[in-house]
Amino acid sequence: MNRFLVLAPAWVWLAVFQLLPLLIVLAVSLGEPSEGIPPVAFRLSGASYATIADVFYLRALAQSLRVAGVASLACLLIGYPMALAIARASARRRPLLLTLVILPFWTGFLLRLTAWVGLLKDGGWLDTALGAVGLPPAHLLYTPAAVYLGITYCYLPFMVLPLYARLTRREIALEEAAADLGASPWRVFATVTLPLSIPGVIPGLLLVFIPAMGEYVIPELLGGPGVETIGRVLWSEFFDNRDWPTASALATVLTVALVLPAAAWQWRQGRR
Amino acid sequence: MADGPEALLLWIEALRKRYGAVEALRGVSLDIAAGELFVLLGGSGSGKTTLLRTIAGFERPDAGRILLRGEDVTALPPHRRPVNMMFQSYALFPHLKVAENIAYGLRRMGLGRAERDAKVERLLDLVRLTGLGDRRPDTLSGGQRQRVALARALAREPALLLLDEPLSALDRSLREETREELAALQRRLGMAFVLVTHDQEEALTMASRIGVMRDGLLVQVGTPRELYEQPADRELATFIGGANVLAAEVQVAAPDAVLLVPGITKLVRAATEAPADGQIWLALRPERLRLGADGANVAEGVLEGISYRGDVVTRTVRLPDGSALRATTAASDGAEPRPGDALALSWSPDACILLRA
Repeated sequence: MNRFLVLAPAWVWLAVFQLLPLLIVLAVSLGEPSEGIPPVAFRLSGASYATIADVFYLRALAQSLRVAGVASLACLLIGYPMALAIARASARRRPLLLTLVILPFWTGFLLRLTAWVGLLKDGGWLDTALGAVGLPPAHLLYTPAAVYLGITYCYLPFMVLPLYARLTRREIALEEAAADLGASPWRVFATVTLPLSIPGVIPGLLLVFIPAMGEYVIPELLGGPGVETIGRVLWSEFFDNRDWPTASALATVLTVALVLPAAAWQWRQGRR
Repeated sequence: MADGPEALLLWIEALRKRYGAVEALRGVSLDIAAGELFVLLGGSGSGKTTLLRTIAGFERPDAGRILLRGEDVTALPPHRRPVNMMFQSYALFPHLKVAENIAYGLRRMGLGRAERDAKVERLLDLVRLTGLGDRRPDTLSGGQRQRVALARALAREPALLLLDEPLSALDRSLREETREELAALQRRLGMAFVLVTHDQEEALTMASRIGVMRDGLLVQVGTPRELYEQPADRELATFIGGANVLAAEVQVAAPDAVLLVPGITKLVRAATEAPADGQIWLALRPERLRLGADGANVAEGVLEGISYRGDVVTRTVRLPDGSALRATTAASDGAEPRPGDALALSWSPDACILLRA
């Protein structure tokens, strides 16, 4: 009973701000568009789901998968050495290094993205720097590369922190045992450190991949018309076409698609 | 050891290692011959583990040299040294099965799969874990894990096996059984072992030679019998075998010493000469003391306590000057003195161990 009381605020919060909106989205997705406020007629129709089984939406989904996948891998490749370096730094320096990782959060998200626009735009800081060493301009802004860059930049801390948490739980004796049995430092990393850090890698990947899948702002600001992600399609269905059922159906499918792998990982961890 | 230099497996010269203000090794030199079971005995902070880790290559000494079979390995990293170590925590890889743990070192040698598998099977048989190769380490008992660690360390057939407190994580009965098994295995393999322990009983029962470490120095190296019968100093006499130690004044130094001991009325006669003039220590092993007054040396006092252990009884006798003697005799000695009774203890001159103060 006491336990219930302690957890009650969390349950109430989840019910009101997570479950209820999800149910509303689900209900809207089953309705049909109509003139009025809200622009939806509630009934049990699957029409909007038939609408989104279209190559246009599938392409946007594939685009989002690619963006989120590339960004997650980039975060892993950049974040792993960072997390390892912080975990291996002296106990005195670790707080400083961790603070540096989360320092970008001190500035507003939109502000930082706008800064990226200034960096990447034609004639921006990047082009100026390239020109100074005699290189041609990069024309990065409004390309997929700019979106990868932006998402990797924004989500890197979400990769570093769980990885760091795992890598600090280091068992030096295991690494010494591997070295003692003939493993070079590189082999020690590949056969002991890396496999034992997988329980930090998966949450890190999920924490980057899931929000990156639905990301709207970064593709909108940095991507240009070529990078039509699911987030942007959702936005235009809602606000430009005012087709709430189609947008809600997209959101529902996306949520289910994202919850499944995360739930599978949780379930596996729980069984251990 | 009496072997020639060609039999020397490990040769350690004047090792020094400092951690900040602490000097863990203060000039340690040591030779180990092939086939030895050498035990490094010492309390915590004595430097015994640092010495072992330096031989393994985990610590780089500040000064000194380590030669293995005549080759200088002082600067070699652990993975290039022909020694293997069994860790106190066992350090089994939790993500690998038992067989994969044992095969880990073999893979690094580039052994083919068939050869590797055959070898792992033989090692599993050797440590009596036949059929458990597919298990995960965390599903094994403590004793089984200990044997996996041993098999893994033996797999590469090292020139020298280092064992860091290999029995300390086992409970007492298992520890004694495993002690004998381990010593028997060492004899059978003929592989040199260097074993670190803080347990003097373990050292005495297993070792072919013991090196006692204290404060970063090897204070004495010898066979268990040498250490027991001729301890180098007072602390060793009490650390190994728990001798009674009394202050004594030398009356006659040679050929056989005669001592004046406060608390003992008669002069004490020893069978060796005194190590110094003036004040020395007289060490007496509890089991060399007999009950009763018929002996060359006699001390009279009051029985203070009796500790019964089943096979033996240890009696504590308080001497008139306040010092105490513990005498260990067979439990069936028939004596029935009670605490508070007067009790005499006697011993022969050759039971006297004379130590420099």
